Amino acid sequence: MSEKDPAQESTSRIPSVIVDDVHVKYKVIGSKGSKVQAHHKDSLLKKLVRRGAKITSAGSTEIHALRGVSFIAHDGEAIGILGTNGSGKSTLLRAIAGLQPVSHGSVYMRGRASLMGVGAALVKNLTGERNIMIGCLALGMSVSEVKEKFNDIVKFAELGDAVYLPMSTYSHGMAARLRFAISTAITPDVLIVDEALSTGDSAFKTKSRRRIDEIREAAGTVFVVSHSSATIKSMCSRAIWIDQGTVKMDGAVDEVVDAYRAFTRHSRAERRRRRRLRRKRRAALNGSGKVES
Amino acid sequence: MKRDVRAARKRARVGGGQSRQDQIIIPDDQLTPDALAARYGLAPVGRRPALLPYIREIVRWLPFTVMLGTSRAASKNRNSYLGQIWSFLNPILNSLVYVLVFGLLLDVSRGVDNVIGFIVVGTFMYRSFNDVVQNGGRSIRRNQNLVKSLPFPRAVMPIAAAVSEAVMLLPELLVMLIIIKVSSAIPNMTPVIWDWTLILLIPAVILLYIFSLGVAFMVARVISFIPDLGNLLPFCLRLLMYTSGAIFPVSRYFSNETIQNILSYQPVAVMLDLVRQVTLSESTIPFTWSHWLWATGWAVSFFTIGLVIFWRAEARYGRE
Repeated sequence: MSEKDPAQESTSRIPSVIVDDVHVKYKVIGSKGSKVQAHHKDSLLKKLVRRGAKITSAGSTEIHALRGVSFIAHDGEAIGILGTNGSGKSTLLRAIAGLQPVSHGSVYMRGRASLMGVGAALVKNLTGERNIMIGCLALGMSVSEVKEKFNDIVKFAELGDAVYLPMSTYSHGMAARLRFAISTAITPDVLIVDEALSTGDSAFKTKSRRRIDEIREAAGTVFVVSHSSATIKSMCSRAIWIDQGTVKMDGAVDEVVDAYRAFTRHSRAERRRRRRLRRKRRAALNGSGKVES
Repeated sequence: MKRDVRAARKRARVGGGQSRQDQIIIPDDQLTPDALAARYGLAPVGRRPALLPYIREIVRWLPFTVMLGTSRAASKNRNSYLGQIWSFLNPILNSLVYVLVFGLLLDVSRGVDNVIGFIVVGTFMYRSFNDVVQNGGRSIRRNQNLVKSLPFPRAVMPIAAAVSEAVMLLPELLVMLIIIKVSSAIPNMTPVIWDWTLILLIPAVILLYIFSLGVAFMVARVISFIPDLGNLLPFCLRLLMYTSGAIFPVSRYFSNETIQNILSYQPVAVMLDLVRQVTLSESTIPFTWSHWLWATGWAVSFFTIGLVIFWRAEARYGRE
């Protein structure tokens, strides 16, 4: 019955993820940040309490990470998420994957999302073999599936016999390759790639890029977070720019990336200008007119 | 304003929702998000499932749970010369300290036939309970990274902590039985004679673990939202140890019958006595089936209530 729905008239635009007015607030326990500024008019008691809280680091701070994000992703789309550090990119992706509780609004999805982060499940002083088992089970695979894919994973991670050694003996690159190989062993409906492209040496990089492309073709929808706007341009058709927890821009990848680049260039120039101004003022105060250019 | 429009659209859709024609008239981009999701079969993300599907999910994730629990147990003692031998030495030394201080120095036994057996069973079993509650209770907080990166049902964490404790259980029980047998040879102690009921040690320990896991579920929910209470946990557990008769028969210190009954029928005391019934030959702790009813009742009710308490916050773990 649902197949006969009006969806037929726009077959290419079948929604796969709906994000509707999502707000995320979370509490950071045990740190009253420097945000709270002292006022001269405050009573002595208030000052003492604030000082006491600062020393003991008691209390909590609430962070409003996402402030009403809405968009609809469709089947077959690859969407790049842009934004400066702390803009709420990762929080948004975790909310899509159902890992970050949402305080208002909702997220709808077809199938399962996978955030390529299996690293937390692995146990450092156990063998790579055991860790492949743990990691794959953590992604929701069955024991027989893991056994089937075991050789592929070892081969892809280029571990060889090192797979029978504890992971604590691995080099940084080996561990990263293993994590990547495990994370990409399944093909999810919605794939979320969070800065995972910068894994290993350049040979492995091209290999991992190819693997992600494969998964991207099989998966319905892909989200990519990367600091490199070139990566996003090459992988995505659409981009969403998140700024201070809201969608600042959503559209074709070229447009958004260009606007974002212009913005970061501008704000970098702004920061530089302000720094120069500050230095000038300080120099003027010191009386010596020495100003660096 | 915008809300009102949405609500109106929703009402219009629900009102005429029965006729298919009405649905066809509304194009995709004018539907409310939830109606659009319903049209294309998208499910809400990050919502708490109903209790039965949740339990089914837990069962589906059991292979991962067991693998995680056993792996953590296997990696625990990797950084010492004696390795896994420490998992035996720890409980042995622990019980030895209590035997020395309470059994021999203070002699608080109050008519216990075999003090060593009494204390060894008490400390071994209480330790299991203690560790499951401590590690299971802190498991959500301790594994924030894992909870934040993978979408398994959160109950996996406390259960994995219990599995991790249970891995070394069988050899531990053997060590406990050996100590009991050895203590029988000591002149002052009444010899322990085992009969067929010894086989009931296995179900007794299973009941103990089910009960402990139920408590761990409750503690895990509380601690993951108010981490400060984690600091109080060790003190509560130590107090519970002394009031449950893990080391000395605490109920015999009171003459008031009501207090005696409360102390000997509270869940932890019941669990400890259950194990003592089958492993020792204490004249004051005879084997009774009524005790098994009590133990089963406590275990089942704590587990059920604990699971429900834990499940109710399922969608909110990992918020920090």
